[in-house]
Amino acid sequence: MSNLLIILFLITLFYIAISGRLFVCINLLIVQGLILFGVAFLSLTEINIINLLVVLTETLLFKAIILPYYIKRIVTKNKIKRQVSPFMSGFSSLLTVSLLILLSFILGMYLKNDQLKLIYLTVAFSSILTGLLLIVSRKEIIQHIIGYIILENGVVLLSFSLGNETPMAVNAGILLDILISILLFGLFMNRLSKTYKDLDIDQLNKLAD
Amino acid sequence: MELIVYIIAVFGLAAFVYFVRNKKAHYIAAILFCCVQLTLNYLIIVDRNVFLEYFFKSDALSIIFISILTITGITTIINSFVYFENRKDNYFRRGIYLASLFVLFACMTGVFLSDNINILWILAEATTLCISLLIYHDRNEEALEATWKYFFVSTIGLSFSFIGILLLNAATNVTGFSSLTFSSLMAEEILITNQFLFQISFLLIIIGFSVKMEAFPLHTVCIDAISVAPGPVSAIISSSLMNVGFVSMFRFYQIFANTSLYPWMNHVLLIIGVLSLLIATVYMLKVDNYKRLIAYSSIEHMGLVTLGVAVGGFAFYAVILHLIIHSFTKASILYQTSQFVRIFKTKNIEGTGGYFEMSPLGGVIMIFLFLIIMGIPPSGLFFTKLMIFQSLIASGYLWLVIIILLLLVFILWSFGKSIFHILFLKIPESIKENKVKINNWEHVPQLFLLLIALYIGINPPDFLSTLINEAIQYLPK
Repeated sequence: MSNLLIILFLITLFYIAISGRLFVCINLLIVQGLILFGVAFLSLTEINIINLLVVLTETLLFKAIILPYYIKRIVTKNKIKRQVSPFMSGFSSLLTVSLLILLSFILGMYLKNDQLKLIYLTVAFSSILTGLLLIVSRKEIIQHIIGYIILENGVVLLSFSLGNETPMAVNAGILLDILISILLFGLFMNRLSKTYKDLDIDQLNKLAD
Repeated sequence: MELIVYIIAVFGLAAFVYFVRNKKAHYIAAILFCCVQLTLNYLIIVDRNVFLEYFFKSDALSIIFISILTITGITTIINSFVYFENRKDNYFRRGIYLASLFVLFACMTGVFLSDNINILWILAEATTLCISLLIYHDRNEEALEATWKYFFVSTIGLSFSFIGILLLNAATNVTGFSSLTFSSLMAEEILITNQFLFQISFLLIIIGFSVKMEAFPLHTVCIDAISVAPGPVSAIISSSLMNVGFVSMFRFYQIFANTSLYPWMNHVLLIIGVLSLLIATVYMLKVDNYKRLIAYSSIEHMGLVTLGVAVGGFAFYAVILHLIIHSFTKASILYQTSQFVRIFKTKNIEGTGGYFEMSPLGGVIMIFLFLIIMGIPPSGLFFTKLMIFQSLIASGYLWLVIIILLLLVFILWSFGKSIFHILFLKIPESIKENKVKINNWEHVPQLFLLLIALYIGINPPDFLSTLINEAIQYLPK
């Protein structure tokens, strides 16, 4: 069952890579949060109840509800344009993501051991690489943040693979990242959108040699 | 117990400066914070096991770097007040600045002391948060851009480190939160079952911490941060925060140093070191902003340090000594730049000149700092560089030493050209009418750091040598 959910997670990555609308991307973040919640519920069976509760609230409350809501509010409040203008076309992004997944699969084959299961490794690395792809290939800062959250989802998925043995590490990692994302992404997005009109990365060019 | 008192004291003082917004309160809080930090420093030197129950352990490495942090921390706080007074910043901004500075010092102290890998990572991430607030102090467009870039890249980099730590967790097969500590990993022999897994893990950790270390892959954001941040904050980024990156890297290095991974790891560090030096040289030749120039000089020194770690042998000793002297000197230089910004009202080298005429004492200090940072005798960095080169030649890298010496000549030329431009050229017309007066008392912290750096360089005290030798005792000779 958890394997099925992880495959679904992989499919959302394809969808995000080709979607041209901002709100589709944000809704897919909600889907990813829900999937992570399901995976945590199904796979973290050996940890104690308090740790499990922490992980579940983190995935469900923060990743599926608060963060997407927060980003949507920033978008509507600051009138950020909702069309994505990527450097590459839909077809080539699809091709790139497929190649990245293939790469992750090969990497996973070499890295797997008793604790790191192949399916977790592959999907986690695909998610991390797709997040990086979004950051590199898209211009809008809001897309960079979505890319970062996808990357972070990949890290969380990877940590679930080890979750039964080291639950506290997982908790600490997720909690701090969520704290940072809410505190500073929120704070900065408001400042950035006040200062720059389009929130394009091209406008951040004052500091260069 | 002591640790809890320390944490409560730091956060209490941070809250105090944030909520009570007047001059007197800020001065009192700053003095109290210095006392707290000095007490902690005293405690960890006297009793090595004072914090053992909370996964914090004081060893030689942490004693050295926390002492540097305490000394530069106090001078930074003094310089911050000078900075505030001259710019007439409002008390709200001062409050945020001081509060994040206090918490930043506490986090950095924690990183140096931390024995648990996860706690080290969390505290390193927390330093990003505090330093972002400090870089954003000026609240203009440039500050926003630099803060955003630093924060974003730093978080992504540290996410990489976290992946690396997770993989290390899986690779060493330890279970439980409390057992993934540096001392336990060093005590037992690590079985390299899957070499590729260890390699990927080490690579990710190094890439992540390079953002703090100011070395090759993710160094760019530090340059932006140093160039925009207030002078005292730049000094902290370029001294203690750099040491945070180095200590984190060095502790992971120590874990793997006695395994079959050792030669491969040294090759990675060698490449990082050479590329850092190369990038520093190329950019120092074309840069026209003196703060950026000094930032690139930090990358040059980190490149040398990484090279030293890569070749090993007696270069390990040189590396630690190099970092100690570099921290004091670089901090001092960056405090001086905050005076330059105030006098010349520009960060561009073209708009400067005649500093020596305006402030002879500051000019003399700057010349000495220049000699030390470039490694010209009587500078201690001359001897450490010599030791690193000797090690390189002993390991058969003579060709590399020749290339590096060439690069260093270029660096000396471009750094010297700019510093002498600032010191000795004619005073620019634009500032001739309303010259800014520099009070000679402002030079005292810089002079103090300069004297320490000179003394350590010429005659490293015995206790320091013992500490350095203790810090590197587990590494292969």
